[in-house]
Amino acid sequence: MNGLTVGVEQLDSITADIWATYVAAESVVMAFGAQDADPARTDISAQVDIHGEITGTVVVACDSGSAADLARRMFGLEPPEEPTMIEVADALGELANVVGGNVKALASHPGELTLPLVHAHERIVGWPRSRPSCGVEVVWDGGRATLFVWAGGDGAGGATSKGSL
Amino acid sequence: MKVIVADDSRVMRQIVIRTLRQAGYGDWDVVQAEDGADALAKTDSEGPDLILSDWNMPNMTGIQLLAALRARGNPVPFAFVTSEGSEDMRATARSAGALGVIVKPFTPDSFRELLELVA
Repeated sequence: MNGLTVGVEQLDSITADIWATYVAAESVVMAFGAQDADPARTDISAQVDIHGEITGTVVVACDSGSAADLARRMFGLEPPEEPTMIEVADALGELANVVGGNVKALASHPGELTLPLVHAHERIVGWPRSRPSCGVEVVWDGGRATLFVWAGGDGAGGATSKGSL
Repeated sequence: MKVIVADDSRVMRQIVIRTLRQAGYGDWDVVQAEDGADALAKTDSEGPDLILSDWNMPNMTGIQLLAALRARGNPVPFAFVTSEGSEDMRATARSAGALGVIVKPFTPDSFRELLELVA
């Protein structure tokens, strides 16, 4: 089994493209070094897992205010309308799905992408015995989010249904 | 023109519909489906002219949906709107009978390029 191999420059480019298209045209992406790509407590995170001949996990994490802003923008909500928790989970999960799919497309070996799993007020779930590969932070005028890629693992995780919120 | 938009994410369905409008297809009649099974049922009841489907969905995936349609002899034009645009996936989509793959994140131009084939 092969670990997912993604360079931080590739994750940076994928993130910039997705955020510019779906969130805010003027988003800034900053790369973490692999040593900084550690799981951390966060308000809300969404992950997709890749399993098969390649394995890995892609996570999008942010605070609740940023997550609400993402949902507001993606759903096209106008004030005073605010997104529901289901809508926030949907938006964050879909961002993880789009990032994950683009990351998976870089792999030279086949694999499958799980449906997104969204966690609230929980530690990010990664693959057992996996190593962090890279991470980026993206900032826009409504918030900030952190994206991590874990490579490898034994395929013991993964979502079978969308959203747990 | 009636189109079924199938995606388990409601926000993505809304983004697809918004992008269709931006691409100049705002007068199309859009029917939403939340997974492949829902889309298959609505194909029977709505008789769409086109199906735009996500690949990875619960209950029935997009590729399973396409296979089911073709197995029934339904030639409805079908395109994938998905997060992965690898060559393997595009080849699988084409051999299953899809017009092509629109990769997320997409723009109105991405839709126009493919939908000019059917619109």
